Amino acid sequence: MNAIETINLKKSYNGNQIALSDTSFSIKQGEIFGFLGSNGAGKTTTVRLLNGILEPSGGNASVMGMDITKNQVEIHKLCGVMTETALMYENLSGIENLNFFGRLHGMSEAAIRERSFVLLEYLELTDAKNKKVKAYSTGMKRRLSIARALLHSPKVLFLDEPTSGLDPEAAMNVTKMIKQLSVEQGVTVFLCTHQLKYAEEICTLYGFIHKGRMLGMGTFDELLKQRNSKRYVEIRGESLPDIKSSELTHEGKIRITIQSDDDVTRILQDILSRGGKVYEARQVKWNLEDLYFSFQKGENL
Amino acid sequence: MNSIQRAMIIKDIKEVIGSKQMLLPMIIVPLIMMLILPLALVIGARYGVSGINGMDYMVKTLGSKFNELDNSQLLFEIGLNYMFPVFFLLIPIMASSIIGASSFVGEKEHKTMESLFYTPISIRELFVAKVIGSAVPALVVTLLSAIVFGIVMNIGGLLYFGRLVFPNIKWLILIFWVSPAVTVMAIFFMVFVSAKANTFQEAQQMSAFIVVPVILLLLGQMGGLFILNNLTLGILGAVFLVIDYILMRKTASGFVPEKLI
Repeated sequence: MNAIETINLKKSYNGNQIALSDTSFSIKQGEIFGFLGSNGAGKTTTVRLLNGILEPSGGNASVMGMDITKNQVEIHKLCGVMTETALMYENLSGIENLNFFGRLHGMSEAAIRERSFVLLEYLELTDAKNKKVKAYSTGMKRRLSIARALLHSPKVLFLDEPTSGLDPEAAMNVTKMIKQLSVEQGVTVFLCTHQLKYAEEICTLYGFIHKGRMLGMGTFDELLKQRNSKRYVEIRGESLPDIKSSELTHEGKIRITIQSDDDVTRILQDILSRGGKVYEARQVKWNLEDLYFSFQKGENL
Repeated sequence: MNSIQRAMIIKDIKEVIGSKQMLLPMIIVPLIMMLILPLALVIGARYGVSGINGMDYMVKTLGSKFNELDNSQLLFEIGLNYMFPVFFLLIPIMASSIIGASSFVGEKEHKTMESLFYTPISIRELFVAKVIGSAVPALVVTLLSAIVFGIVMNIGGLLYFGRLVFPNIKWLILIFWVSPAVTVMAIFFMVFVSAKANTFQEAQQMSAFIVVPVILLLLGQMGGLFILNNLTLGILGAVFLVIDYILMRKTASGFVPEKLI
């Protein structure tokens, strides 16, 4: 079953300012979908549309089979949302915030207490639970927002930069938790980020968005195929001769596209035979960053 | 009242208590209007017997109604039934506009409104819960102010008339008919403002508009244009309710996430 499906979903403001144009994609249940794009690309707009708090200007979409324009309340029961534009009450303590949102989700006091205890413990906020949120650090506020999004055990989780501002240990815990939710409980995660390395570490499916337009969508391998990506060899050395179609990296290495392992041997022999010195040679495949920029530029690297 | 509305009220009260910016006026204004000024009246009426400065026109309008009263009793009577009712109206306006500003504009300013939109309550339920959540604490503040005022006035009543003077019909109309209507009006006004103002301060500045009719009431009475009797108060409450209905229709249709995030 598709947890999220959009067909030509569109959003424009005042008729001409396009925030999202004709976007179609589907995400199966249990996937961790990395929605990647720079600030202002349309990520938050998409999250708001999928949660029914913005009205689409065209097209349609469903979350867990429910129409986003008709079943907002039901969708909110199944979704947990953590975005930078949906914050916690600063004059309430962490636990008071969770109590309040738990009540709005129709949870019993006992259920809120039990779930808050587990989440606060996991997110290392137990000691600060009675402090007012305004006294929290940025990382603590973000962790509390994650706790709120998970409080009612959602089936679909929308997370906007969940590890930004967290220390490495807390970021690792959050990442582990997201993976566990996806694998063990089949929670679908819609993760908005512009941290490509982080997305590569955690996501099973990717979508690239730029200026409101979906550039590409698929698994890593599918996206590599779409861009007809190539492998290349990176060489660090001295007195390196000119090699056809090589390029210089910002680290001062040369990068040459290859078709096979034999090409590496041939290139190295060529350099050595022409008096060049090789200190380091490494075969490199495209990573998510290469893919992202490839889609953004609309051409192969 | 359902559990969502209860949760909203508790949250709004905690927010007010947790913020000095909101809490201080909520305490100081009622204290001045309904405790300190009435105490000054009770004490001053005994000594201010030589004349009632600035209220001559009002006394003329009242006519022969209070001919039998001495100056202390007259001053006390005018304070109790003609001046303080107008001051009293400022309490629900002030309380509901502060709580309303926090509940609607403050939520927008602090980016907590969007968090509410992601919860499984319909926009209509959220609107009703927030209006009730703002109105109940404002009415509690109003009622507490009335109780404090009543105690002070009854002390004065015993001193000058030898009997309890509070609450009379006029004050009952004021507390249970006009105040709720004016409270709801101030809240709807804040909802209306919330689509335009982006900060709590901005909303508070705009709320000054609601105080204008009350000031006009005070000036009109002092100038002898009219007298606030039971009938005029009853009509005033009804007018506020009609305005409430119009504002409710207008604000409820404009209360959409797109305008509030």
